[in-house]
Formats: sequence, C-alpha cells, structure tokens
Amino acid sequence: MIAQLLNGIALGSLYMVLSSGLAMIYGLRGVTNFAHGSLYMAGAYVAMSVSANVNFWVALLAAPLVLAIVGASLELIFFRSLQDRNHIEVGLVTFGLSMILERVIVLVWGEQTHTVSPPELLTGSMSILGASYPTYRIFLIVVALVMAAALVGWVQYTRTGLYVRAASRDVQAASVLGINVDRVSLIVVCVGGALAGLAGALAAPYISVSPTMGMQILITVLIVVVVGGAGSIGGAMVAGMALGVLQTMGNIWVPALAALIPFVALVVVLLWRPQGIAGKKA
Amino acid sequence: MTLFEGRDVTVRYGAVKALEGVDITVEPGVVHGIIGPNGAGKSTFIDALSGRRRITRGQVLLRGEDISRKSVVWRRHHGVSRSFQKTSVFQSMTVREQLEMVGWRNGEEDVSEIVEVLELGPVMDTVCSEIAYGTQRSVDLAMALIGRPEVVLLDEPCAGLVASESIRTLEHIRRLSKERNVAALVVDHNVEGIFGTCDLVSVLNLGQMLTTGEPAQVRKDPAVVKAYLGSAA
Repeated sequence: MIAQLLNGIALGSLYMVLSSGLAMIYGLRGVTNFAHGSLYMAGAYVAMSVSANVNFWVALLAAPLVLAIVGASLELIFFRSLQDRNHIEVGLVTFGLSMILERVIVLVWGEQTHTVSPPELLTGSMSILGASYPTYRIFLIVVALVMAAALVGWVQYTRTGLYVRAASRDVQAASVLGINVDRVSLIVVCVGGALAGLAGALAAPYISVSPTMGMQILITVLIVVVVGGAGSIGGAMVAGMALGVLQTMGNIWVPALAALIPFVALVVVLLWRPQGIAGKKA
Repeated sequence: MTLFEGRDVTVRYGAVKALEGVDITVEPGVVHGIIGPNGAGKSTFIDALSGRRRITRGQVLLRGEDISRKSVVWRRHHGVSRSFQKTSVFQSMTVREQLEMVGWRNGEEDVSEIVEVLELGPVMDTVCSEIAYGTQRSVDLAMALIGRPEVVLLDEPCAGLVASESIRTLEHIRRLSKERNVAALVVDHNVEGIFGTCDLVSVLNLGQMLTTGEPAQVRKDPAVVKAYLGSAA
C-alpha cells in the first residue's frame, strides 16, 4: 500500500512539474499550448542523448536548458505575433508544432521505444515506512517537490514573480503600470519550457522514452490545468499531485475504471467549481 | 515648450468617427478636466493619448517629441501615466505589494508620501479584495501617480463613488497635482466636481472639442449649455 501511494506521488510529481509550466503559459498568454507534451517528450530525448554521451546529471541540466531555448523561440516566433488572434487559431498552431516536433524526433531517433538507466547513485531501492521502494522514484519526488517550492517562492517572493502574477491577472493593467508584459511573457514561456524539459528528463529513467509519450500525457496534463484553475500555478500543482495519487490508487481499487478518473475529476470540477480549485471566478 | 499635447487627434473605426481633429495642451501642475455627454469620445481620447488606441491622424507630443507610435509601457516609463474607469487594482495582492511593484517599475521605491496623502497606511497589508471600493479607487490613483509621472490621464477616477468620496478623490488629485507639479487630465461625469476642482475644463461632444477654458467661462458658454449642460447649469 505504501509503495502504491509512493507510486501515486511519483506520478503526481511528474504531473505537477509538467502542468505548472503549462498553467503559467496559459495564465499569461491565454494560450492552450498543445505543444507542451511534445516539449516534455523532447526533454526526455535530450536527456536520453546527453545521458548516453555524458552522464545523467548533465542531462538533468541540459534538458531544461535546451527546452527553455525552444520555449523562447515559441514565444518570439509564435505566441507574440499571434497574441491578438483567437484561442482556437493559436491552439491549432501549437498542435501543428507538436506534430512537427514529434516527426523531427522520429527522424532523428526513430519510432522505437528507448529505455534510460538511472545513474549508479540512484539505482536500487530504499526502505520507506517498512516498504522497499526504488531510489530513483524517491529522487524524482524530491526533485519535483524542491522545484515546486522554488517555483512558488519565485512567484510569491521575488520582483519578477510579482510582475508575473500581475500580468497573469490583467495584461492591460500591468502594461499601464509600466510592466513590460512581452518581457515577462518571454521569461514565463522559457520557465514553462524548462519545466517541461525537466519533467521529460526525470521521466526518461522512470518510464520508457518514445515519440508518443508527449501526446499520451498531454490530455491528462490539460485536465490537471483545468481542474487546478486555468492559469493557477498552485492549483495545477495540487491538482497534479491529487490526480497522480487518485489514478494510481484507482488502478488498485477499480482497475477497469482507473483510466476514467481524470475525466471524472474534470466533469465533477466543471460542475461543482467551474473556475477550478484555485482559479478566479469569471 | 508645451509639456504634453494632442494635436489634431483623430480616431476612426472604419467609417465611424470616434474623434475628429481634437487638440489639447496640458501644462505642469495644471488640473484639466474633460466633460461631455456619453459617447462624446472622452475615454477614446484618453486611450489615444495614452497609447492604448492607435490614432488615425494627428500627433501626441511629449515635450515636443512625437510619441504617437510609442507603446503604453514606453509612455509610462517616460512620464505619461493613466488610470481606467475600471480600476487596475489586483484583487489578490496586498496594497503594499502592488504599490511597491509599481514603484520598482517606475523608479520611486519609497511610496510613503503618496500613501500618507491618500491615507492608505492602515490598509497597506490588506489584500485588495478585502478593502472598500472607495479605498481601492485611492490605491488606483496612487498607482497612477507613483514614479513621479509628468502627466496623468485619469479616466473617470470617481466612477462608482458616492458624492463625498468623489469630492475627496478630486481634492486628492488637485493636491497631488500641485505638490508634485503633475499635469492631470481628468475625465469624469461629475460635472460640478470637475468645475470645482479643475483649473481648465474642455468639453467634448460627438468626437469634437466644443470648447476649452476656465470653469466659469465654460459653464456660461452657450454651445456647452446647449449641447451638454442644459438649462440646469
């Protein structure tokens, strides 16, 4: 039971890292970034490649860095120039970008599934409350929690974080008060890309690496963002963790229905609290 | 040299003329009111001067420099500030957070002077959603004035306030304008408040400037009486 709960927390940690970046981008640019799953997938491939040629620890830094640069390109080339277009058009563009990125990955690494070994230090297992549990998954949980704390600290207690909060609430008011929303947005999309890269790097030794891994997780992560409250970073973190645990425990209690849990959560939240767990009322 | 000037400001939406050839000049320490009936183009005029609305023809000049194509953020950083009819207050932030944030962005880290004049001290650590609407209006005014802008464009700063709060707000605007030598352009429906507070008053009607002058002179202008004030004036 403890092991299953930890499995749920590990999956929730992955959702948390991935969805917080997506929520940030949505909150500021109002863009549903369908390419976010592909950024995560690309992060896993970058980590796999660097891990094979250098080592895992460098990969853990390289993947967020590379994906931050990809995020910056997305902002500068697409989001900024499309900011006055309607959401469906921008969403379709990000969906197209997602398909392109997936094809590029297939061209470089092929369609097959890859496995990545965790570093020597993180192999084996350790005892948690009497249960033996893989060390790498504990590492994943710890990294995700540290990242979550750092992200909350950044948003709540730094000047840039304050500008992000202001611009996410009201772009027009933020501009009038002298906040350069384009610059803030560039930072946010870079951080969002980096978080997707980090999630991909963490996922690489945890689950298998394949070109479809981004699409597989995207729907759940979009649900996490809506359940958390579109645009709310804290809400996405809480919802991500909760959904990870529920989904994993559901696999034990109601295996036939476990796959439906995210969708049930979505319907329940939309009916009971349409603005999401931490979202603002319309 | 004139501090801030709108010259032949024209805004059109397709065939619709929202503003047509409007001129205005504002000088340091002068409170300049703009009144006019609904649909006269008052808010569009503020939008055009602040850079929120691109002008179809004409110029906006700051100390003689044409800033017509400059962004809202550029204008804010170069001394042209504005507020909206709907406040720019962030409901989920404390008053301190947002005043300091505006101070950091606009080079006035110590906001204590404005806080004192607008009597915001007791609510500094309160989240804005928990303070009275009248106080939120004061926070909005404070944010427009932080950074020592040379020009503030205030779009209905008294919207939603009761009469006593409106008078107090207009008094604050006058006092801060004089103390800080700021040119204040104030759009409001509170005609008596504008006449009682402003050094100069302009009247817009159907997108055109009807007249500009001292309050007593404007109040008696037959064209203004006919188009806006009516016999009650």
